[in-house]
Amino acid sequence: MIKRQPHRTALLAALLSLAAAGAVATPAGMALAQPVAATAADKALVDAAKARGEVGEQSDGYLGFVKGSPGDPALAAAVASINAGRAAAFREAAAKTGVTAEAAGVAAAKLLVGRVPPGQAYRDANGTWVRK
Amino acid sequence: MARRMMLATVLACLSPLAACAPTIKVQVAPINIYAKLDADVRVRLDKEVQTLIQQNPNLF
Repeated sequence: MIKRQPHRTALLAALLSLAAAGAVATPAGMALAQPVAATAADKALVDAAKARGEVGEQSDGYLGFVKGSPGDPALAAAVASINAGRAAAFREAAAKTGVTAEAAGVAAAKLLVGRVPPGQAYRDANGTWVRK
Repeated sequence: MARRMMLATVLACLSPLAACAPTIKVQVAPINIYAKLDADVRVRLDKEVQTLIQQNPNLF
């Protein structure tokens, strides 16, 4: 009994180190070649919602809901699909320039917020929705 | 008696610290992450992102 315990401890340590190695290895292997494809229909739904003041550009480079979650599940799905596609695109741009995806999102937000037409809302860095 | 009171005081002082410690997170706002980039990296990133926006009309 006493003799076996060190073996058990060693086995446990080996298992733990394997698990740790696996956890470290996983993120590197998770890079997606092609992002979730947002369609032109998703874009049309989002553009209409932007015009109604329900959806807007955020300072992090993603779309957000001005008045909380929408009642329309199709709109929610369209926003989720576009945001997922953007996340993948930001990761790609970030990898090319050696920065984080968050930084790429902020860089995109600068351009996107600049393009917001008068009357539509965008979310500033403080988290406040502002009407242009 | 005095020692016990001191111990109680020390414990009382430590407990709020212990309760708070795990929730303290250093969060850097993305805007600051961007602002702290080197100027040349920022220029390259801006160009990269501009291309990204132009090439993905369904996303932006």
